[in-house]
Amino acid sequence: MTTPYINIRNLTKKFAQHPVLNQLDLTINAGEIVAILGENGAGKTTLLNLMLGLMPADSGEIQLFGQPASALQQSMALRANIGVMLQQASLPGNLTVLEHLELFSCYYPNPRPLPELIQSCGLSDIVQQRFASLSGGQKQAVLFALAIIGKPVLLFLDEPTVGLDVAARQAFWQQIRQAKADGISVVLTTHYLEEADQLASRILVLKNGHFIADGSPAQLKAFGLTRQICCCTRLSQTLISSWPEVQRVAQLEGQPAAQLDTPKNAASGQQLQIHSRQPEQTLRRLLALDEQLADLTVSGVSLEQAFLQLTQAQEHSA
Amino acid sequence: MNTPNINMSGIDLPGIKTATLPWLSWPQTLKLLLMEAKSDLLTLWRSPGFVAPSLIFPVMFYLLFGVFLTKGGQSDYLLVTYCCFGVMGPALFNFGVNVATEKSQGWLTMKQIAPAPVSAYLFGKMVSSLLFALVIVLLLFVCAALFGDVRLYTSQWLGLAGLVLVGTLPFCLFGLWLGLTLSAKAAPAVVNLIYLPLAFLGGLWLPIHILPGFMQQFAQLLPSFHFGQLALSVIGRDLAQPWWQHLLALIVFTLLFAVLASRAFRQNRSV
Amino acid sequence: MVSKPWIIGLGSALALAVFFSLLPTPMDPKKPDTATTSTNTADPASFVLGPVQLFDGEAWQGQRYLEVRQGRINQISASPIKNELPQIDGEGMSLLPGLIDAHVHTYNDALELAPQYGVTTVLDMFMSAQLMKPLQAGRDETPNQQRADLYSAGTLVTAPKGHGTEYGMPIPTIETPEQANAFVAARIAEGSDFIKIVYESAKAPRKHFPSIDEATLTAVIKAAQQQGKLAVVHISDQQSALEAVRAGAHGLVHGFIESRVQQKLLDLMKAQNVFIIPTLAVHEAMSVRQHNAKYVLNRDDLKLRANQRHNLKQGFTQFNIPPALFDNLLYNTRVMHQHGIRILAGTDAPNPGTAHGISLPLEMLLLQQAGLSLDEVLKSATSVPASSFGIQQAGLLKVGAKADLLLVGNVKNDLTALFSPHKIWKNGVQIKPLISAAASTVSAGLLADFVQSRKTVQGLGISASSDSMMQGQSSANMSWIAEGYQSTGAIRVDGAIKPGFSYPWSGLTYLPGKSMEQGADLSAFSQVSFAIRGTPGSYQLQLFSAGSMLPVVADFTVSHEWQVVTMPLSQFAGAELSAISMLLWSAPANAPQPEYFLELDEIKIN
Repeated sequence: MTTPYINIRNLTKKFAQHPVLNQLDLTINAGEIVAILGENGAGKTTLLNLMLGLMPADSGEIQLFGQPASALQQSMALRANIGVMLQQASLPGNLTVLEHLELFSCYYPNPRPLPELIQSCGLSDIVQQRFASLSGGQKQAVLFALAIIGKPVLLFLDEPTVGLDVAARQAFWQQIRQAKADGISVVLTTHYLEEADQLASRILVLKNGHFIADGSPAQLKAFGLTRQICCCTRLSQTLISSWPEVQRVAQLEGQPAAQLDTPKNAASGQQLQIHSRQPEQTLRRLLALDEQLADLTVSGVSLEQAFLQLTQAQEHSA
Repeated sequence: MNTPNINMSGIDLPGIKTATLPWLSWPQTLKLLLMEAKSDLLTLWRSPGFVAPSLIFPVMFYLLFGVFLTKGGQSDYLLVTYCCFGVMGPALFNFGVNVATEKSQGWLTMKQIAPAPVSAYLFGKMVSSLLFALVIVLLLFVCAALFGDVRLYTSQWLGLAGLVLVGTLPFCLFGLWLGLTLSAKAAPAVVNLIYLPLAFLGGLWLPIHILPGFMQQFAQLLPSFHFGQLALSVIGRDLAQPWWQHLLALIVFTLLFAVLASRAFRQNRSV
Repeated sequence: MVSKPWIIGLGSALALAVFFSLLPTPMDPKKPDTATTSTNTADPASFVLGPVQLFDGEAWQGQRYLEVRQGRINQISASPIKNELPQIDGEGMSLLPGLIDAHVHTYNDALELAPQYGVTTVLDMFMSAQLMKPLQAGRDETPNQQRADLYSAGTLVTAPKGHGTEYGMPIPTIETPEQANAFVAARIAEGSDFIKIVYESAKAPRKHFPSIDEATLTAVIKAAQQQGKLAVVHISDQQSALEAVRAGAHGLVHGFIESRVQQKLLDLMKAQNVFIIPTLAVHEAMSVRQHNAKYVLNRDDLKLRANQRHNLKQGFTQFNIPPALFDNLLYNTRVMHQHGIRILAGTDAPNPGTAHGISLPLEMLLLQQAGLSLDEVLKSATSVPASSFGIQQAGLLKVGAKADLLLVGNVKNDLTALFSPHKIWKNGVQIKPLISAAASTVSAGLLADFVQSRKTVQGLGISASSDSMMQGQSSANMSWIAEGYQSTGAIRVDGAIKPGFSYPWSGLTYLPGKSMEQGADLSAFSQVSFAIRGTPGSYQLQLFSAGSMLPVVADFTVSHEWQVVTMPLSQFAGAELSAISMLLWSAPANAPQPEYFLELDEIKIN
């Protein structure tokens, strides 16, 4: 069993007495592509900074390549084996892309040859432009190139596609897939479900300071395909929740379902919100059973709702 | 599939190597130093907000106070003090303001994570500051020779240039401490608030013996005063204090700022 | 990619070398430059002087031409310099750097008198610390000032009741080695350029005054060194000299007369590179007493004030030094010089037997008598004191130095040419001769009768005076009263005389001349008379010679009734009647009761 790339035990980090990360455990081995999924403010960037030794933990242990993360500051060898794209980083705007690449490549004894890197990262057109004049997507591309210039074995990407348009995002995913093909392990944080889905072999969901889910995309796909059906129906919530593909039924005004399951409301119908894994099946049932079905909308489930499902699924299975 | 370059030699050992540059060959090290210097120089050179004031102000003030408005006999004295004033600028601003800005942009963090040696970064900044300082000194020399009728022995011209350049060191460290401590927004204001009074109260704008007695006493506390006096001793126009006292004061200031800067650096690292 | 930085580097180095070689040096001749500001054309401190025979402070350079700009030497050339500046003909005379008197005491008009004989820099060995700083100003620059540059020890370092405390000026003293650092620091803070210490060994053959001990001496010298200042020591005998040199002194500011110098001291001084200012002239004046008369007092064509002439006739005769002992000093100086010890020319002016300015040539003649060659004598008054005291602004004629210049007749073979300086420049501006030094004349008869006011008929006037101006305890208040002796108007003084100051006084002072420095010439008269009444008792009339603070005193009696007191001037033996600065009617220090009053009228001279 080789040393895991990342090994975190019982990590706690508090900001002003409030625990952002609470007794968190994590192990990442070579060859994994891991996405850490979480809402804004969940602590993803904090976790990344802790893994890189940029801030101290309040308690717990963080190991990188079997060494404490704090050793990163002292060891050139450790630093050469990782590549990082930080969310808030930007480069001196006055220098051109080529000048940045040239400088960064000097840090490594055996960097990737620049012509090949420029080609494969798609920087050929902008090589002579000053960094400040680049678009958001182009800047991210340059930062990515700098992250992989030293031929790292492990790449850390912090919300790499925030603020990019669809085309830029797609181009970026292509870069990561290329890195994956080159044998580089990746840890990336994101709040885009689809991104995690597209890229990762393993997704960790961070909420309330620890991971509430840890699994392959297939598991999340299940929740990703969950659709939300809103309608006004006379059918009882109890009936609808009994259908096997239905995950959850809620009354739209927020009143608990039980209170409304009374005969005197049956005739007027109620606004319901139904989460269904197989929405077509649920729709067929509704339309068949309730001729007066009204206000029908079908939409995707938000991440929040998917997470809720995940949580509840875990609790139910426990 | 390309096998990534797994240079794990430093990792499997029981202890972590606290390496600076043990693993780059000498030519690679040299290239790194040159690249850092070149990058910093290009950054500075392409910032009109840095270049213009650095080069123009000392020349302008020297021509004003040292050549055209002086009653004569002061052009060589003021050349020396304005050289000191001029080289303090790049030192304080490149290390003070630019480090604060680069820190706030996350550039320093990126370098911290990459195997970028801090010493190379500082070396690069030092070189670019010195090159600017040299240009300023040469410009002032030209003004002095052409307009101020200043004549010095060649050894004095050279000695003055050399001494003034070496004397930027305490100010580079001073700037570095400020840059690591201040925010990017506060840095320009604070550095300006320090730079100009430091120069004036140290007797670099107007000769120190024009200032009232208590101000002359106060100047003993200022590195700019000792810098100016040491430089003036090259042409024999310093006050009666022995030159080694000024040198000692500058050495003390250098050590003080080095300690403060390295402390601020460690606090920045925060681990 | 590696060669490009090398090319850039080499190219830049080459360009820098070319640049620096092109920067103008002081040797380059200057073209008249219309682009510069206008200060050159009308500047009195810019001119060309030549031809002269140039002594640059170290050696004779032959015939030279000098260009001075804005008070500094800009160029020295063997050939004539032709430019827009005024040309001054040097007539082939000797040009020396402005002389340096390495041992003076500065008060009154010392700094104005010294340059009259080409002494443009003085090293003061004890003066009032308060007066020091303003007088030191300007010595690094070239302001237009008609006075010598001052480098000073300020307050000397002495024991309580030691030498230096007897001049009526309160000064701090030191007792223990532990006080050394703070004491030296305080002197430096006052403005002392170097530290002068008074020392007399416990083993000295003759004790003149209380002195600090050897441990304190060593501590003060060490403190001075640590604080970056030279330490020089006043000694009066060989034993004290030996201990001072052992304690680390950089220089001795007097020679010693009581014995011949031993090898031990010679070796020690040589090994530690200690210099000495023998002050031959003041010693000669207290022993042999012929030198001044031989060269200066026998001439009446020299520019001397009456009080200076008077002072040159004096000497420290109270020490009873046999003339033969002066030979010791000459011998000591000769032997030290032969041993390669630096000899500096210093006069100890204005002590008895000396006068600011003219005493330096007198000292230089004595140094020649002691065996220094003429060139070495010239160096002892120029480059040697400058280098010994670390003074960069004086003592050498070189490009960039201040234009302190002395133009004299041919001094290459005869030092007495220095008594007739031709032209003297300070900071490039010519020193003007001071107003003719003769004392004012006084007509026989009435000096003052105070008919309508305090105004006197002749002289500067009358005023109340007491030692309260020297921090004494006495007092005096003057008023005009209507009722006088035989006519209206008299002066009244009400005062009290009390112990406190070393020489208490209280009364009225009258200045007969046009200034106190010049005094009045009373040599034609035989008596002074005045009408007086007041508190009965014995009082004093004190006569002060110009330049001297030690009066000659005669007593007279006062009663309640008006009386005319006539005092022959012969009673005031020792006063320089040709230059009397002041008459003081004073209560005596030993008056039976402190309070008194006097009424004075009808002062006459016949």
